[in-house]
Amino acid sequence: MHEKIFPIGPQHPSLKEPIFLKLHVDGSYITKAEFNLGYTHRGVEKCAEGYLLDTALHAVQRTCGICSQCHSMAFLNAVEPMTGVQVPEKVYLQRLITAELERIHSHLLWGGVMAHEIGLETLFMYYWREREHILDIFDELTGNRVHHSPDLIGTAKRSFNKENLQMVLEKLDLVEPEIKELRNVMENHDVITSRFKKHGNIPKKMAEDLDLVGPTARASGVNYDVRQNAPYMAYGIKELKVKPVIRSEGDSWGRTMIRCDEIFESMRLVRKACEMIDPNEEVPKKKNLIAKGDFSRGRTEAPRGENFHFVAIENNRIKRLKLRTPTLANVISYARIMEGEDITDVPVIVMSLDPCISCMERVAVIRNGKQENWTSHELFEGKKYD
Amino acid sequence: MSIKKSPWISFFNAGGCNGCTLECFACFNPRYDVTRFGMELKASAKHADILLVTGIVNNHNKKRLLNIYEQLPEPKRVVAIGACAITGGLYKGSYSQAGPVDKVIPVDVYVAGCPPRPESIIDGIRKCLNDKRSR
Ligand code: SF4
Repeated sequence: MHEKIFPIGPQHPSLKEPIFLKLHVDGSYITKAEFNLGYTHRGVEKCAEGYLLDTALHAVQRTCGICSQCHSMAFLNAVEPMTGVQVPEKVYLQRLITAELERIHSHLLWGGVMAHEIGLETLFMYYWREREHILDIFDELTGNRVHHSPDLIGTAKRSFNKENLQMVLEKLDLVEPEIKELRNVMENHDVITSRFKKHGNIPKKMAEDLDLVGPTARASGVNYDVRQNAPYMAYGIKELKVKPVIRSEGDSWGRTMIRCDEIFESMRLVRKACEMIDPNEEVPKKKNLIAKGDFSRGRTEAPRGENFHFVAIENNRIKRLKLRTPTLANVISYARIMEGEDITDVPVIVMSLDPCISCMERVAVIRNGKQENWTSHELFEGKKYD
Repeated sequence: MSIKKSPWISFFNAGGCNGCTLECFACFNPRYDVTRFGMELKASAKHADILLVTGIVNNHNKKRLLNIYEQLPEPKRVVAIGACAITGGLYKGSYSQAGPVDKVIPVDVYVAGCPPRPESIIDGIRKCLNDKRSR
C-alpha cells in the first residue's frame, strides 16, 4: 500500500480560517493526521501589556469577532472584584442578554457554515438570514453589529430602555419558528444524518482526559457548563439558572443537535432577563477605579466552551494577560478523531467542533528553530479509546 | 486593463480576529446579496478577480499572502478590509506583524472600520470595477 500525504490549508475552500492539516492517506482513508497553527497569531496578550484597564477591555474584546462579549465578561469577572466596585443588577442582566444573543448568533453562524460545507447552499442562506435579525438587535442595543463593546468596568455604556427590550422580544418571536424549522431540517435531512452519524467519535473518557469544553464535551456526555458549575454575574439568579443540554452520542451528529437545542435555552434566558430588567433604571456613571491586588482570573462560558482569562495588574495597568479560548482545548482532538475516517468527511469533522481559529492562536511547537506539526502520537502518548 | 463586470471574489484572513471575515461573508447572505452585482465567492484565488484581505499579516502568513496574490489572474485588484489590514489597528507594532497589507502586496481600495459594515465592503468592491488605473 502506498501512503500519500494530503495537505489541506492554510487557505482552502473548506476552511473559513487558516489552519494547516497534513493528512496521511491510504487510498481515501486517513491513517494519521497532523496539524499546524499560528497563521492568525497576532500577539493580543503582549499588545495588551501596559494598557490601562479601560483600554485593555477593548483589546480583549477584539480577541474574537464571534464571542467578543464573552471575552469582555471574562475580563470583567477577573477585574471587577479587584476594584471592589458594586455592579447593579441591571448591568448584569444587560450583559447576560448580550452574551446569550451572541450564543444564538454564533450557533446560527455555525449552522450556516456547516450547511455550506456539505453543499447545502440554500440551508446556508436560511441560517444566515436568521442571523441577520440577531445582528439587528445588536445594532439597536449597542450600535455595533460585530464588536458590540457595551461594557465599562463596573457599569455599561448605555441602559436598555423599554423600546429596546420590546424590539428584542419582537425579533425573537420572529426568528423562533424559523429556527425550529431549521432544526427540523437538520434533524431529518437524509444527507445530513448519513454524513454526521457515527463520524468523528469522541468517547466520554477521551473528552474527560483531554479536558474538552463546551458543546463538544457535552455531546460526549460530560456535564460541564461554567454557567451552571460556577455561576457568574446574572447566571447566579434563581430564575436564570441554566439547564445545559447534554447528549451521549459523541459524534458529529450529537454536536450538531446540541447546538441546535442550545439556541432555545438561550432564547428562554433572554426572554426571562428582559422580563426582569427595569427599563426605567439608569446605569451608573463611570467612576475612576483603582485595582488592588496583584492578579486575578475570570471564566465564562462562551458559545464554544469555557473561556479563561488571567490578569496580572501593576499600577492600574496590565502587567500580564493570559487568555485561553475554548477552541484550543477542543482542537487537540482533531489529531485523533480523523484517524480511520474517509477523507471526504474531513470538512464535516472539522466544522463539527466549531473551531474559531482566529481567537485561539496562542501556541506553537518549535523545536530546533523549526515549527513542528501537532501529531496524535505526541498529544495522546499512545492512549487508546473505543 | 480594468474589471468591467461580474467580479469573482476570493478571500484571505491574514491574521485578524473573525470580525472582518464574518462581515465579508455577510455580504453574500440574502440581506446584502452581492450576487446581484454578478459577484461570486470563490474559494481558490486562481478563479478570482478581487482578493479581500483582512488582518494584520503576521510573519507566519506573509509568504502565503504573497503566494495567493501571485495566483490571482490579471487584471487583479486587492481590497484591504478593516483597521487591522490598513494600519495594524489595535495590534500595530506587535512582534508578529509583518504587514500592514500594503507593505506586502499592492492594495487598491481600503475599507476602514473595526469591522466595516457590509455596506461599506460592498462599496469598496464596487470601486474596483471600471477603475481607470492600470498596473
Ligand atoms: S479590524 Fe477589528 S474586526 Fe477586523 S480583524 Fe481587526 S480587530 Fe478584528
